[in-house]
Amino acid sequence: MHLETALFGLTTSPLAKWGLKPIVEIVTKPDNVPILIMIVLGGFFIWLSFYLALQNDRLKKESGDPKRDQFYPPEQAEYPVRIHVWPWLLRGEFICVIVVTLILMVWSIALDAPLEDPANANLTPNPSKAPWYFLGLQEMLVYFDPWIAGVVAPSLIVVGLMVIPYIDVNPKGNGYYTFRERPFAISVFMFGFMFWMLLIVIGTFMRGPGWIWFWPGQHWDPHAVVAATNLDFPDRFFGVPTKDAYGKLTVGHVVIGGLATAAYFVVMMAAPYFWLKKKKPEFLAQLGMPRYLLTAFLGAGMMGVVMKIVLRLAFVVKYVWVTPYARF
Amino acid sequence: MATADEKDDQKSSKKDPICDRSNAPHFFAASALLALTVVWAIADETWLRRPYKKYQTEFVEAAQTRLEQLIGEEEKRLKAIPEYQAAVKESEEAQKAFDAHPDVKKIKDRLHALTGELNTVRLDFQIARGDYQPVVYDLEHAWLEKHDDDAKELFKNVKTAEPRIKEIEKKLFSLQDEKAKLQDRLEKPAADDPLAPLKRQVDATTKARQAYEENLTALKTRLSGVIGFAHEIKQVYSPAIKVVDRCHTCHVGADKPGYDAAFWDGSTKDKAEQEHRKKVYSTHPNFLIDPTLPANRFELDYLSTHPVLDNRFGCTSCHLGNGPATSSAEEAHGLEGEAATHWDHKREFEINPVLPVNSAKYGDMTEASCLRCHETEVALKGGEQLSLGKQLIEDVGCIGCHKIKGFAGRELERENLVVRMKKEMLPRREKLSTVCNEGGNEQLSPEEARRQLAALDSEIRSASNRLEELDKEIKFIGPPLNSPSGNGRLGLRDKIFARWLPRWISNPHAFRPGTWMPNPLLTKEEVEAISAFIWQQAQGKGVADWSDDKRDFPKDVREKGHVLFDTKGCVACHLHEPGEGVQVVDDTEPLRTADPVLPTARKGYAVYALEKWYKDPAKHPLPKKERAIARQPEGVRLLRMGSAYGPNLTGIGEKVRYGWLVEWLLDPQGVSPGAHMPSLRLTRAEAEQIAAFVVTEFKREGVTSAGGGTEYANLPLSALEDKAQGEKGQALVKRYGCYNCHSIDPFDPEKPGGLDPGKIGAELSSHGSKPLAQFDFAFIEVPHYRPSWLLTKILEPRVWDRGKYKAEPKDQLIMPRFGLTAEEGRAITTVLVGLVDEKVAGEYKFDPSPRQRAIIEGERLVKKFNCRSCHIIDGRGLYARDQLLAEIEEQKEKLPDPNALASDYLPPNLNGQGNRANPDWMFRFLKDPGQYGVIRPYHVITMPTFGMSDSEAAALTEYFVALENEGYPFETKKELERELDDPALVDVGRKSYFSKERQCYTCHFVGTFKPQTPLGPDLAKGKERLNPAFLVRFIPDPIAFNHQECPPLDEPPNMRMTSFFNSRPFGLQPPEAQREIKGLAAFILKLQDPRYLADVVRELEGTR
Repeated sequence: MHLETALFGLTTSPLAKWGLKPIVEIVTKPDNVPILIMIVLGGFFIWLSFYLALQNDRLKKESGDPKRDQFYPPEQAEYPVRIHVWPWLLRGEFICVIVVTLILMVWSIALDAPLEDPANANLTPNPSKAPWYFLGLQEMLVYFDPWIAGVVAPSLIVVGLMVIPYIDVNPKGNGYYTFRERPFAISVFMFGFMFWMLLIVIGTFMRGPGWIWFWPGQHWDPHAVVAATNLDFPDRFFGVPTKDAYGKLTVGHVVIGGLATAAYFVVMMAAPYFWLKKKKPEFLAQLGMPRYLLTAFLGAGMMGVVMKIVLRLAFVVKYVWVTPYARF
Repeated sequence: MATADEKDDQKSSKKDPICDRSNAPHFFAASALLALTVVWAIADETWLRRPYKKYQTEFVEAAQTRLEQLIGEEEKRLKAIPEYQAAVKESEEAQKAFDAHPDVKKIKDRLHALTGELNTVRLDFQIARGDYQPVVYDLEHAWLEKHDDDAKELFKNVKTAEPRIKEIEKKLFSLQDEKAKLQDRLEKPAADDPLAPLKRQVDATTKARQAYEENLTALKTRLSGVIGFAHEIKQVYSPAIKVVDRCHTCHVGADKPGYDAAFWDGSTKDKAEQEHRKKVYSTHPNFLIDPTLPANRFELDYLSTHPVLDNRFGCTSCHLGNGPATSSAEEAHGLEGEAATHWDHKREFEINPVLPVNSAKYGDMTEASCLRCHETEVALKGGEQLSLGKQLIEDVGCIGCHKIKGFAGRELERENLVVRMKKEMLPRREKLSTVCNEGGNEQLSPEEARRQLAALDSEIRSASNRLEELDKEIKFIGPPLNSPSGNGRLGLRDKIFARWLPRWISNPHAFRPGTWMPNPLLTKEEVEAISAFIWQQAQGKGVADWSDDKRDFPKDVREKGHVLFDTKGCVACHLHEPGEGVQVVDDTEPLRTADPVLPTARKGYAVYALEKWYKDPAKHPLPKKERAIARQPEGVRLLRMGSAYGPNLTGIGEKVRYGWLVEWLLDPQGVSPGAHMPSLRLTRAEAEQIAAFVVTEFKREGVTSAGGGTEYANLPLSALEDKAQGEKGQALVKRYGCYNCHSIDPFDPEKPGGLDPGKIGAELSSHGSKPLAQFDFAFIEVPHYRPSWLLTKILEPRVWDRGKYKAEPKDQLIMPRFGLTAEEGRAITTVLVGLVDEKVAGEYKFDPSPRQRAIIEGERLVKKFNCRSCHIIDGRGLYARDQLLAEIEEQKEKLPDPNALASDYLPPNLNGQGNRANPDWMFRFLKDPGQYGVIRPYHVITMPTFGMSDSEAAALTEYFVALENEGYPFETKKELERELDDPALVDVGRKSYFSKERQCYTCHFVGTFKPQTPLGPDLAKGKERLNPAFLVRFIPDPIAFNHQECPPLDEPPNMRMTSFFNSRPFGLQPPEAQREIKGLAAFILKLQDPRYLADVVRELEGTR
């Protein structure tokens, strides 16, 4: 195992062409402007929400009034807390409408729709990229079986988002910014959200021809060659091959891979239970066993995606467990 | 305690940060910016996104200024002409006199009044009719819907309205009549009218004035057109070839005559601006809008045969590019950045880049597009670069290793025929004959079976005849390397010296500069191994049979050989001096052992400056050889024709064995079937003399070249006989594909045990459509552009391996280096770029008429047999003139008539051959010229026997006939023949032939009779050979049959017969002369009769 390829499995040839030009070309493509905007706006609003939440938490701690936010620090408490929508809110929103219209107009004049050549089934573009909002899914295809990356994982994400109201039993934090009152919910959501953004950024800026990893500034060489020597988990760490000489799955692989997968889920779901039981029994009681199991399963699934990416990039592991039905 | 809400509603004494803050500055700034953006959007929509408006405005302004300037100049010029001033004055006076006539004034006043009256009446009429028509409509519908009461009422209304309309109409017509009559009187007064003489005066003087003003009027018309130019997108739409072109939206002048380079010259002082105008706004070259074009468009310029603007061809069908794009020059031309306005591109833009025109590097690559519709033509007018490329692909032998659509049709035909024969006809014949023998079966009666068998047999016969013909016509690109096979044929070992083989293979260009054999770029080991294999597989009669070193020929034999060599016409096809026609450049280093030289840096070979000649033979006659060498050190070797057609014989003695050469000279077709070398019908003694001369005389001294393979001179014969080396060589030959151009036994599928490895190269049939991404540009810094890759590949085929690590030799590139010049390379590139998949609608395909097809096929054969080296055909030819004359001059005292001019010995001019000779005779003559004895006994150069197939001889005959537009079946000729078959007429002719004035006998041979001045052809076989209609035309006016277009014109023509009838055409001759001419023709035809001939010869002998 080459160290170069082991660490991120990337093209790190010292001879590869580097420079500002490739990254400037990629960043300024009309396709990629939304991603840039996403990075800037996403970052800004995350900062804003945390700033307000922390400020609020501080105010709340000092005044004990949860309705107070940063515009109304204690020294200004005599101002009316509520004012009318018209005209005070709408006049501000009207200016926003003008500014947004302005931005959209400038955008549409300055950047043309990124039309490419007429489609030709015999000559597909390289790299073939999904629309930016699907790039995270496409990036996941690198690490998973298409069935997992394309069907199971997105379904679980959607289902997970849908069950949030049913598993989130914390009544606090409605209508105002706070972090201290819901640290677990916010942390888990932020982790998932930023992880998804990261996948989109990788898919946009790091994946070149052949879906090979290029660092920003590295020339996207369509002829670049990288090692594709991924091995499955039991093979990599226990020397047990996935298939025998006749192409049949080996028992060793199925057993080791299955155990590893099962062990991961058992540990990821059991360990928090014991920790909570010891540290926050009241929270656990409030949650109840079915809700706990669901939450733990979804959390383990999310972390599993991250784990799998780490296994692939750092240890060149292809699949942990290959079964005739799906590959994990 | 107040509730929270109450507290909220309380007004605070302090200012509220939201309610008390003004948003006006924000609102103003945002609104102002929005307003600005709206302005920007409008500008973008109307101007910025429509750069063509800038071009159109620029064109209109520039053209207007220039036209006004030209008009000013023209007016100034006219002013300086006193006659013009007089004409103006005269015409003005005439006009004044005309206007002053009282009638004219009266008429004009009345006309003015009439115009007013007419307008009033016309308005009345329109209103009346407008009221009337809806009533009629209502009436019809009332009838239809059976509203009888309404109908009655409406009918009454209609009837009431009608008289009034009639009345107005009548008035209108009468006024119109009056106006027309008055106008007529002003324009063209009747002869008895008092205005008539005045008007005549006006017309005459105006005409005189207009004659001077022709240019001025034209310029003014153009100016008014320019001023009225509509700013809009112009479009050509041709669905049949999927063309939507808006090119002339910006190239405004392209579709208008008169905006050529001369027009823009001096239009502005800014040189760059002037160049810009020339490039963008010039009229398309060869532009011609002339509705009076002759119907035969085949001969015309290509733009008039390819109308671009009437929704037929458009621009991009030839130039490529993105026709509908009007957003920028880059997108329309499909090129990036700077390159969009320069032809030497950096890189292909998005799609479909425009093909280069007038490019220093690529020439006129646009000609590639011709290939989409013109697949068959050998020489395409206006497509010289393409035609050259097509020719080169066959000459260079690209088709040996690559399959290319539209080339090597005969090979394909043969292949198909063989397959049909083997898989279809022969098995069926077997089945049928079994059925016949068994006396029929349930499906076939015995008679029916026999009938089918007979039909099949005749089919098989014709197929095998065609196969035989094809075997004659098809030839490997290179000479055969086989062992001998039956019929006393000779093998490679009988032909060449062993020690020459490695020397040749190592670098053919060093031994014979200008050879088509490419440099295979081999290492020393590979050269030795391949030589061993070639030597071992080619069995011969054995070295012992031929003396290796027979070079001690007696002097007289060599001298006789020298005379024969010079006078038989060998030099028509062979050069024989070192470096003649070529310049040696050292490029012996194989790519693998040294850093290759890039095409731009390398020098080219130089052969004949045929390029210019090829483009315009009238303007650029073929240069004399020494001039060609001196002036064209880096010139071009373009076509294998004239004396460069056959191999240069320099050093031939180092290559071939004497014994083989004798056999070869005696019967080239026998030694190597399908050989290009024709038989000269030599005797064995003659062949031996020529061979002795050739092998001893032509040395390679003077040809210097480093690494010319001389290091192999001392290679022991045992090295070539080493079996292990032979096996290694076979593997190498398999890899390099030598068998694609040479027949080699172990790779001949028709030989027992022979392999059929197929074509070694990639198929190139759709190289113009291959996606650019599939071309490997490797590490070579050339523009990423199709023509650029192809050109580089053709010039330096293995350059893409440069900088690559290829451990296995089999991974390396194998294409050999042909030593082509940039011109040759770009010509071949043009063809490859033109080979696209895209289908063109049938009507666009060039469909030659039978006559055109005959000419196309004939031109191919004329090229194949190098006819134009000796003959002038269709106004071009006699390319070997200089060589032939030099050699004849040298041997003059040994020729039959030492006093004759050297040019007298040149082969006959074949202009007009199609109506001079009978087609049947031509066919038989071409098949075997020897059977006719000698037509021109005073000639020494022999018409050789080419071993043509029947179809080739027939096609050539058809070609000559087609050139003269002669039609079968010569009905008039038969009539004339009958008329001439008249003993009285023959007697008239005979008398004239022997008369003192004509003295025909002094020059013409007749049978065995040799004249005093032996300059005229033998008349004894005239009937068989000559067209009587030609005789009748020729005899009175032979000078008319001189060369008309053959270069150079300053030399005496080779038609030496003078006119005995005042050089007047037959039709203009007096009746008695006409009878005499017909008599002479009849006499000549009568000479076919042997008894009559004997009688005439007897009389002729008496004239001595």
